[in-house]
Amino acid sequence: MNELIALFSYDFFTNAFLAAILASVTCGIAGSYIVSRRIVFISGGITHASFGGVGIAYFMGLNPILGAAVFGVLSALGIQVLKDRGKVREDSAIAIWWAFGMAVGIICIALTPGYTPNLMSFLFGNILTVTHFDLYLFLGLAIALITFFSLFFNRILYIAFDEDFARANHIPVRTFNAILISLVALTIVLNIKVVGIILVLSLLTIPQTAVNLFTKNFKQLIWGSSIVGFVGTFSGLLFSYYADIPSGAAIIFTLVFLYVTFWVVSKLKYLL
Amino acid sequence: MEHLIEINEVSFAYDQEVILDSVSLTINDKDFIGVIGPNGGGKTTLLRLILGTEIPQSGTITTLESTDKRPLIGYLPQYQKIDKSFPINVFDVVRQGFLSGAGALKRFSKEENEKTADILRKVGMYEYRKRPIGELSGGQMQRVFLGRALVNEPRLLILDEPNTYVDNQFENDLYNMLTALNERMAILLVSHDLGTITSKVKSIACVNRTLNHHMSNKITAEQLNDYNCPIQIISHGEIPHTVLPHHHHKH
Repeated sequence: MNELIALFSYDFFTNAFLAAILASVTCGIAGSYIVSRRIVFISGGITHASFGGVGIAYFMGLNPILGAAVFGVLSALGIQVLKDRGKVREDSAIAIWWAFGMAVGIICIALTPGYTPNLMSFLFGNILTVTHFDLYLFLGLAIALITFFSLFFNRILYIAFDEDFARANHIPVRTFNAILISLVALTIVLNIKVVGIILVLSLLTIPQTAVNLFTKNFKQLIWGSSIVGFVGTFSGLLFSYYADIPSGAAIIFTLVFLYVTFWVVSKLKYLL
Repeated sequence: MEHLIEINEVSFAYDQEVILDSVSLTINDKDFIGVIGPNGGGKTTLLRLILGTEIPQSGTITTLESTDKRPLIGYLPQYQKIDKSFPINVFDVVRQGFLSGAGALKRFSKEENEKTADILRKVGMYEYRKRPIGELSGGQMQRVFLGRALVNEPRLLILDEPNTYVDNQFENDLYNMLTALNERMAILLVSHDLGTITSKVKSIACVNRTLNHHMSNKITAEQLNDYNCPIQIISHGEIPHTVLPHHHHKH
């Protein structure tokens, strides 16, 4: 226990702890939305497309997270435009953005002279390298998500549940969808710092899937997955510290462990 | 009589394929229109145009400006189009009916919650109000969505094939309810089953690229043929239906 408290005297560890809280809250909200709405695959497209923004930012000497944020939001909206205007099937539109973003990222990083950033850190993330700047961005996003979801909770719930009915009732479905998918994109991009491009979707889906075993209520799903997300992320962080393994993978490992535990408990409930 | 909806020479096409070609239909207060036609004939597109979820390429759709709190349209979708695993319970689904015309920051009032409970009792689903929507049977789900369509007392109730894939009990209850509801609201009922609807409706709209509004609930095979509306006439023993008037074949 003393050792644990001692860990907080390290700046990087306090930052990681705060990042774990903010990651859990943002993923708890945005993840509940994408899981309920079955747009996990779109989110996968956004995740990989945002790598294009990382590459461009490096090439131009800007902050890679900001580049990824811009590119992530544009690809989220781009998938929608390609589907609506270009009459491209949605899954194909996603695949195009997915690969295009990755390609742009790889080309830009190859063209960047001198120092080439460690690709691995973007693919697999590292919660211990989260900076103060990242935390401010994270905090801003968390406030935006909490505000938007508290104010418009009923609208969001009903658009997500039955878009046609909402549209027939003159609710501005398109505007809400655009705002929501942009918030999802920003959530994904900031959480890339924590677990990386390859693993980030699990942060938005594993807690939700676990909590979904016990509740079929959207609000409870948000609260529950934020809490489960935090327990998984923080214990994963400790696990990675003590076992000296990469933090991203350790976090996913503890989340899956939590999911399996929940699953077993949900089965036991029927037996008892 | 008050025109609720006026569809005037509306055409709609997906890409190059014409779905509806210059169709017109006026829906008046207290109408009870049965919409029939073959699959792919444009019934669903017609509904989507009325609901405003599709915009016609030409022609106009005029809707009545609502003067009181009642919304213009209540809508019962085909139940298989609903995502059954969505985390939402029965009560919250029905309450969704109060969203029309409400402000973006909508919070539900006590009165609205009471009305929701009332309508749940009327459709026989009050005991299930806390159940997740995915745990219901097809017929129960239809009752819930009927409750959602009715909770806000719409001027026009639109039902999209409510007799598909559901139990006979619901179908019987529904048809009995519709006659009573028709005294307060117009009804547009889409059905693939002509035999069942003709005893209840007041007029029949045949949709197959074109639209012919037949101003009676009795229709003959010849008339259907004239309207270019090839549908099967099925009679069910259990369910009340109008036997089609006799007609003589030329041999």
